[in-house]
Amino acid sequence: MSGPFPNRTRRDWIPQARDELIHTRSQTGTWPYRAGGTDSVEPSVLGALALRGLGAALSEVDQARNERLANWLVSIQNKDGSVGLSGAQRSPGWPTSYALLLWHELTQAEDSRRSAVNWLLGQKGRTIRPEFNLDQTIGHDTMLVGWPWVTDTHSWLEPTTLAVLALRKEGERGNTRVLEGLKLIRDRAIPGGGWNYGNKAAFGTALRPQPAPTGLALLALADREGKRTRVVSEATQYLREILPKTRSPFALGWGLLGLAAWNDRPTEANTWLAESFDQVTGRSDAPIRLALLLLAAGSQSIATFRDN
Amino acid sequence: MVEQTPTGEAGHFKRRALLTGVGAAAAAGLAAKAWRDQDENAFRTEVFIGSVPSYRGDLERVIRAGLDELRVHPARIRGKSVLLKPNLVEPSLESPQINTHPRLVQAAIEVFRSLGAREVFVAEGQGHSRDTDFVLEQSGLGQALKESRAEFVDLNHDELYRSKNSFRATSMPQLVLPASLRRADLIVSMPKLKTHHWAGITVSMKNLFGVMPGVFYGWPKNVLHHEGIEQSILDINATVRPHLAIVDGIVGMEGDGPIMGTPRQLGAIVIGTNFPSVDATCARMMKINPWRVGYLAAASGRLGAISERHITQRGEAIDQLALPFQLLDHPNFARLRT
Repeated sequence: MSGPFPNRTRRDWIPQARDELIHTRSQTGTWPYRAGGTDSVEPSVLGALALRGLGAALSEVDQARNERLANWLVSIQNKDGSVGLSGAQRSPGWPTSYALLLWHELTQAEDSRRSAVNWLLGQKGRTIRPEFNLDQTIGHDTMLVGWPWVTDTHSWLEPTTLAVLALRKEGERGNTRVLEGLKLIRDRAIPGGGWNYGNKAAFGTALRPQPAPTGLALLALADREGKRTRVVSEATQYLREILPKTRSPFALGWGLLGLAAWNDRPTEANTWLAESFDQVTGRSDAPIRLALLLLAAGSQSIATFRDN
Repeated sequence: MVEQTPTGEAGHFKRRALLTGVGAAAAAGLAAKAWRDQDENAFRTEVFIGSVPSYRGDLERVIRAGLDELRVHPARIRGKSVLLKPNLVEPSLESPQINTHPRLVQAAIEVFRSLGAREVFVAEGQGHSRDTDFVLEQSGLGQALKESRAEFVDLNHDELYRSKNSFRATSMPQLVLPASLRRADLIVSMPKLKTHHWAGITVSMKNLFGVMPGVFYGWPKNVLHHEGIEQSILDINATVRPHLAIVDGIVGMEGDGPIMGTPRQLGAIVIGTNFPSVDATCARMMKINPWRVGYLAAASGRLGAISERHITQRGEAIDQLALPFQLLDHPNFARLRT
């Protein structure tokens, strides 16, 4: 490809990235956001899912660490069913969706899963009544209920997509909360294509899309009955335009997963991932980034997020 | 102060609880002016304005001149850990008016290093995107930091600590903050000078929203919106107690800021140690009455001075560079004018 990124085509980045990810993992199967930091739910779950998504049989050590991770998540689950950021930081509960995805994948922790599902179903983003948005200052349907980052705040895109993905895996695909979550995701699409954090327009002006939220939204919309609507087509088009121009692991990771969910993965994807790996390797904040790159590369990753 | 009470109906809230009421706050600010004036005496301060027509200018020289004029002597820098907090709102190569310009950040790094800082690092927790790598890449700051061999810390995913919220403009008893704030001896806010469609203007005080960790407050840090943007600005500034502001007013943003506005060439770098005074000066440079900006009026006499008679201008005079920044065509914003 042409552009600002050094050309790289070699395919051996995957075992290197995998080894680095495994090397940075703790004995308990967890990872922090940054080396030396607190072991946290999100990077830990993404790391474990990434290793599984590669499709190759895991070593006994890696399997044991995955199980320890699942047990660790149980140990830090709150009585109400939510799972916070880490053992030390028990709220907010948005990482509960991540815990569910891992427990489901490992078919473990049935009681914890049930409790987490109940907690998630009880989490409702706060709405804004239309009479307080008469001048369309806020561009989306403020009455749709999805999931907030933090209890008792408004619904936003990423927690809603994660909750939809996790609940669908748990057999809640027909639940009215999931269906309304999907409606919210479609409503928050930016005119012209893609999503950002969940605000499509303000004061009548359309905002800009971003690749990672766009990929997540596409992943959530791609259930077994998902239709390739205009919103989906515009979003995949946006990603096909933006992904060649970035080497961000979050953008490439979620973006390529989103495209793969709609059978639209670009043939150059592996080159982009390899170039991104070159920028990430050795960094203190590498684990979650390596996890996202490997998730995007893994042949089995999509199955982690699909309910069929 | 702005209304922040939910409607009382479970699950709903008024928009103003999510956003902020510029108009209501402005009216309260004007009413407070008379009695705050006396309290401001204790906060008399100096603010430096440097004229720089473009980012190709000698930015280091202007920053040095500002620090010199404000008597921020090398002894205050030598051996210290310096945190530079730019404004990185959104990733956009096409709209350089959104983010603090990478060349200004580079210039500040060089100045603090040359003054003997033990370390200079750049930190941000952008509110509209979790994807730090994308923001750094698309804004050009990532490449600039690589050239300057400067570390970047993602405050959204940092280690956390709790700090008592003594100011209590919001209902939050504590603020959860990123540990990197404790690593720094000197916290430098490096905002872009912009209009802001909720807060009126965003300069050094509002820029500190970006230290609040997204993993705890969400994106777009919605907890703080519910608590009131202006109240949150006050609490964050009172708790974090930043030390210095270096404002990128070379190209600012007018209209629908802080994201969708248009570039406005002002040609200025504004520097100061008292943030309400810096922001009041910037407001005047935009031809906006700082007493009409709710959080500035509320900060008067409590966190700093915003009256002209309590701020000694160093460098250029405000009138030499001031330009009327366009405001959104909305009744609340018309009130911001002098």
